[in-house]
Amino acid sequence: MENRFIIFSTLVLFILSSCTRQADLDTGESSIVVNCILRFPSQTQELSLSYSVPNGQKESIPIDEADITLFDNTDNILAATFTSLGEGRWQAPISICPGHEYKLTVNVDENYRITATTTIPESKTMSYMPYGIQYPSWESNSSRGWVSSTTYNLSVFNTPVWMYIWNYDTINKTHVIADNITTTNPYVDGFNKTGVQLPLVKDWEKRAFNHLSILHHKYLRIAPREEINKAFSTYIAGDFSEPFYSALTSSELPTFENPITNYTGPNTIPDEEKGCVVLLSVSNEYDKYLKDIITRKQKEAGDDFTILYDNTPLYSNINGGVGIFCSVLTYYLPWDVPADLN
Amino acid sequence: MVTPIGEGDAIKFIQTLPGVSTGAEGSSAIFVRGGNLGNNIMSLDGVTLYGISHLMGMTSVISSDAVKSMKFQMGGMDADRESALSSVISLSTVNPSQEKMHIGGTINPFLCGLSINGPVSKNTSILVSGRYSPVGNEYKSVKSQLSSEKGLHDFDASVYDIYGKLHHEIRKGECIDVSAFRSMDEYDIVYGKDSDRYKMSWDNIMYLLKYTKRHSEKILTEIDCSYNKFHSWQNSYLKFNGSQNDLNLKSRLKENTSEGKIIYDGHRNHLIFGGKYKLAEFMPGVSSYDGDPDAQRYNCTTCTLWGQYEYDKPEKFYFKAGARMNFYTKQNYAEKESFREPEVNIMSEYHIADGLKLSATFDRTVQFYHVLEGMPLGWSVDLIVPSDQALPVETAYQGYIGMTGTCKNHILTAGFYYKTMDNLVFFPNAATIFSSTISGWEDNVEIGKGSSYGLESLYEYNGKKLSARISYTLSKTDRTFEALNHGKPFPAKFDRRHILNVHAQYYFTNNGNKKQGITSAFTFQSGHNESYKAFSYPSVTPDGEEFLIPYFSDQPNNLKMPDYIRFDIGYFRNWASTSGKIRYRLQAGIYNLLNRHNPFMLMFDDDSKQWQELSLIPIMPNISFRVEF
Repeated sequence: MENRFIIFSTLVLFILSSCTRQADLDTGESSIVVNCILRFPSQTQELSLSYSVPNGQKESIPIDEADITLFDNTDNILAATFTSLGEGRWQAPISICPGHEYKLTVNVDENYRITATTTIPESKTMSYMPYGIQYPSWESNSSRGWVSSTTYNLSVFNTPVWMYIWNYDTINKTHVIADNITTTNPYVDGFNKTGVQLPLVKDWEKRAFNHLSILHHKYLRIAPREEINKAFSTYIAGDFSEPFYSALTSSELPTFENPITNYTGPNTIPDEEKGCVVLLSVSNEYDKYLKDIITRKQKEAGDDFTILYDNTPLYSNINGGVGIFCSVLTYYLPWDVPADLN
Repeated sequence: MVTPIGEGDAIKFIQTLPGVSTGAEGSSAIFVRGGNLGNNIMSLDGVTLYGISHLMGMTSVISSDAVKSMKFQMGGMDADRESALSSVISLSTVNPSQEKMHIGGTINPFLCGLSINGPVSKNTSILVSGRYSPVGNEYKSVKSQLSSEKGLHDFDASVYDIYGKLHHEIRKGECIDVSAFRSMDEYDIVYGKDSDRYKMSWDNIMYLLKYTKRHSEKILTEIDCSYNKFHSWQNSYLKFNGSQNDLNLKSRLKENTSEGKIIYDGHRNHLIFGGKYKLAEFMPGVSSYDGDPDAQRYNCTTCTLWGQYEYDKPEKFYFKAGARMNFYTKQNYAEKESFREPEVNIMSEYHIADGLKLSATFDRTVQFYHVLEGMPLGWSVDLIVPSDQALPVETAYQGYIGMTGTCKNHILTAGFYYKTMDNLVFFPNAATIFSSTISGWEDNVEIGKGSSYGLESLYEYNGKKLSARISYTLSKTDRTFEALNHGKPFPAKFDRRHILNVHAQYYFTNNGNKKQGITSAFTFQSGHNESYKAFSYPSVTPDGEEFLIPYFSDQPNNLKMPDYIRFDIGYFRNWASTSGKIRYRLQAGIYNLLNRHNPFMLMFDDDSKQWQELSLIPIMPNISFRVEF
């Protein structure tokens, strides 16, 4: 009986020895990928051109032969022609004009014709107030509303803005983005909230930021609203992973008796080796694209298995291909981060 | 024919017919003339069964000991059937013998069965047939050989079915039958380095009370009342990026049905008419992240009146025309929605010459239940949901024209069909089916159309010793949804362009109780389609981080899976004891002799971050022994 049972079991062995192997998920589809972000202020513009990455592979194949032109639809002139730098990188020696509409045309192999347009956001002069002691104002949310951190006024912007924080790594000589960021601005988009609350500091004199708020992952997105046109100050705090600065733990918080309002337009990256807040005034295309890819990336890094089945299309304004053609005005703003806390 | 478990099976036979496409490896799924899996109805003595397979599709839920005959219709359907868009498989059970008791038993590695059929009194007889699968116990005995860190860790299964029928003759020509059926399939698989767990189950319960009275040689009436319940559940408990995910998909359907019909059987003219009333309760596709889901309930009633006329002049002309009028109502809390849908089925055959016959069918069919298409990659459970204003009743029109030529032992049939379907339901974004924040699946489905056309051919040879059958189908099946693929048609999931089935049987001995021979079968089917990202492309965030993002084609079902190829061989032998009272049957064979790894499903491996094909049935010897007395 036992032998017969083993014989039957052996036969079952075959089916229960089901095997797995890597699935060939190549659909055979492909496309040209164009990534071009027109930046202001900048004397040159860059573009990357490649073929898409088939399923199962990790690298894209760059394209170094193509005709790429940039046309200024507002002035109705050919603005620039891109030249190849190799490995799919292209460059054009042009400074773009805020407020203008540009059209990108890419011709590859006479078979692919790709076009896209973007409208550069208007250049604005925004104000900020570097660290200083302020007395309670109507927007303070506690009886002791005084703070000692920089505030930023976003009321001038009528397009979405994205913000992130940089600190300077003196060892590697590079800027490093804060993993998490938060703000007092109540109109911030919650799409990338981490769910973690910024911890309060009990020592009133040492705090830089003591408003209850939820951390966002790397970026803040603030879309224009009528309420922002009120004189509403926006505070920013960042949370870096060790060994960098945490807004709440540093005791070296400079204070001023008489804070001064400063103004700035779009500018270039500061030379000083210190942290800053980066504000991006983005075109509508870039806004949609960033929100989609950051949301997707956040979900893929998370623990929600259903992302594997999520086939929500991601934004692209490239006709005849994929990628993004958009524009951004960059504002580098001071932040109350000590230069070197390593 | 050779089957994975070594026993004959009605569904496996249907899968070899022209116009029929199969599901994934080894499954009992059938896709008939472009319809979806749920567009086929299997009924047992007129009661619909929704979960029709055992052992992940390797065999049917009902034992062949209980089945007297099977009728498969995919065109020119009978009027006294359940509404289904594509096909109807009508199983009729054996009437318990009133002469003497028969006992039969079958044993094979996957199913062990016992049947008892015979009289219990002068006017009463019973049939009881049950099967049980020892697969779970067998695994335990070989567990140490099978377990591996990256492979199978644990496996458990509870698979059984039991059918019982009591037949009582009230008087001559008047009888009553009471039958009950229960089937269960439950599987628990622990797999992989992280001990991911997959559970799936489906079960049927059916009760039927049938009263039959023969008024005269030509007139018969039948009245029956039935209850059936179907429940299905699929669960994945697995690790993704270090965290446990618990995904559930559950569906339940209960039906109470009453039906009456009158049959007139004349010499050449036949007439049947009747009516049916059905009350159904749905608890359709639901999911949650934690524990058992809680679903909305819908109540639906269907009242159907139907009639059918047949004229049969053998070897000359045959004509059948049937019509059904359905009155359907769906109720959800205070809301009530009603529909009226007619159905028409016409079939005609004309012998244009000796051995040459022309046949044609036309059908307008409807279906009040939707089976949702667009299931996520790797999930195969179809969800049954009722129709309403938002998800209108599915309808189909189908025409077929063909010719059959007969010459001695050769029969060749070739025909062409065209079919259009409307109000098919599709999930454009499969992930939404798992979302616990969405109020219902109704908010996330699209309504569209389908079409299918093709050439069907069947060659049969029936010799004294050798019999062969070759079927070939060339077909194309599309779906069109306004919100998908810019409103342009795209391939259906089981749009298999070529389907070839070759079956041959040779008798060494064919003499009464003594039979011995071999069988072989070959099947080739073009791969089916899945939806997957088309490719990835590089993107850049403001801080300079580069990563690949997926691009999803506008067209669903954009990934062609590998072709399905299989070759089987088998041996059979029937013999009897000297007295003839005990009969034996031995069947042995090798399923998938080529050891081709046809994919059963796709699974995501969190370690390698890759999708993997799971092949369920490699080369598999089978053996089945039956004794009857």
